[in-house]
Amino acid sequence: MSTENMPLIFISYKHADYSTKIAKKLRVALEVISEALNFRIFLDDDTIRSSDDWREQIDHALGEMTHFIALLTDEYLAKSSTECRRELLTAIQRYEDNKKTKLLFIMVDEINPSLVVLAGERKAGKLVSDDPKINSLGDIHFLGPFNAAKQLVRLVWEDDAILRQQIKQLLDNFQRTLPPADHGPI
Amino acid sequence: MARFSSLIDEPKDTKRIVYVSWVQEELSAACLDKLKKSFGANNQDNFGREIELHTNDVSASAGQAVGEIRNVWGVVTDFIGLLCNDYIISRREACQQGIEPDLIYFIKKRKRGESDLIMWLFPIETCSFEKISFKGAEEPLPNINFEWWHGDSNEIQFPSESLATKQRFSQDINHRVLLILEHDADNCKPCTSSDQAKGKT
Repeated sequence: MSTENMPLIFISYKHADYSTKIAKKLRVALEVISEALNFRIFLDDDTIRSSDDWREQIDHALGEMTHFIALLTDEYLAKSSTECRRELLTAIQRYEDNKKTKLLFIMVDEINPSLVVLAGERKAGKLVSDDPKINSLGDIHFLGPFNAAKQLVRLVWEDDAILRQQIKQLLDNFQRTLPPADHGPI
Repeated sequence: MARFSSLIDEPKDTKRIVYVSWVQEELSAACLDKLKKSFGANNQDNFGREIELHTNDVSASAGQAVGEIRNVWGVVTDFIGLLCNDYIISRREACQQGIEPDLIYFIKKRKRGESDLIMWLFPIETCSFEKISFKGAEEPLPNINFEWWHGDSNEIQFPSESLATKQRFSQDINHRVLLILEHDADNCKPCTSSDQAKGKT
């Protein structure tokens, strides 16, 4: 499989404190299996930001991504987080335009996704779709984490032991979203 | 071929050189600390062989073993890998830089079957061996899912503040060290099945 045809996983997160820590841990966990399962990862980190064309790199990745993983925190969803909002709306637009982008959210902070509605963005023309499918973030598939009762819970980022277990669960759930041919070993 | 316990009677069989491969991160450091204490308390295995413990130098990059440690690689009898995501990535990056990291060196050595090397896994984070590849290695590895890995494959539980979890962690490491001290190639499934596969029994 050529590199261009490999699934591209875009990790979207708020550059702040624990959110950055989680994003990096998730990226490392994904990298371990990325060779065998043939996918690429894009994480907007310090290396990207230090280059002159960081915005072009992000735009290129947003244009190619097959999977959009968003780490949902209060700050990520804040209206002041314009870059996060841009990435989120781009991903939803691609999904609704049937460009084969899977939307996969991770609950980091305790939020009620059903209360994060997109009507305002549609009205303002920031999200334009012939076939709007998503009214709120509650309509979007969550990778997790889930407790034993299969309820969506937040990432316990402050406890390293629990966080490791939760990231493992997220990875197991993520692998199910890959094309079937990519599940086996090389 | 694994060294059968019934044949332990030569000078070179009086010592086991145990090499711990790890990366600098919290749980791995905690495991290594406990390993050192456990081996310190048990400086002989069940067959009277002295245990000599070495580790890689984490201040060096993953593949650039400092000279003295690199010399030890050639005589190691037991390789212990404290396996976590950061560890795998560090070894893979070394491969990509054209440097052979310790993990790959020892896997290649074990695959060649030229020594009695025993490979022990200590899962700091659960790793699906069939999904861990080293394409950048000099001899690319599609996965590291080999039958000859020894040890408890259950993930080591990170201790929290509670005394119970600390005790559980301590007991877990002691249990894993005991497996090493008790290892008898005569009655070891990974050893005997891999020897049978090679037609050596």
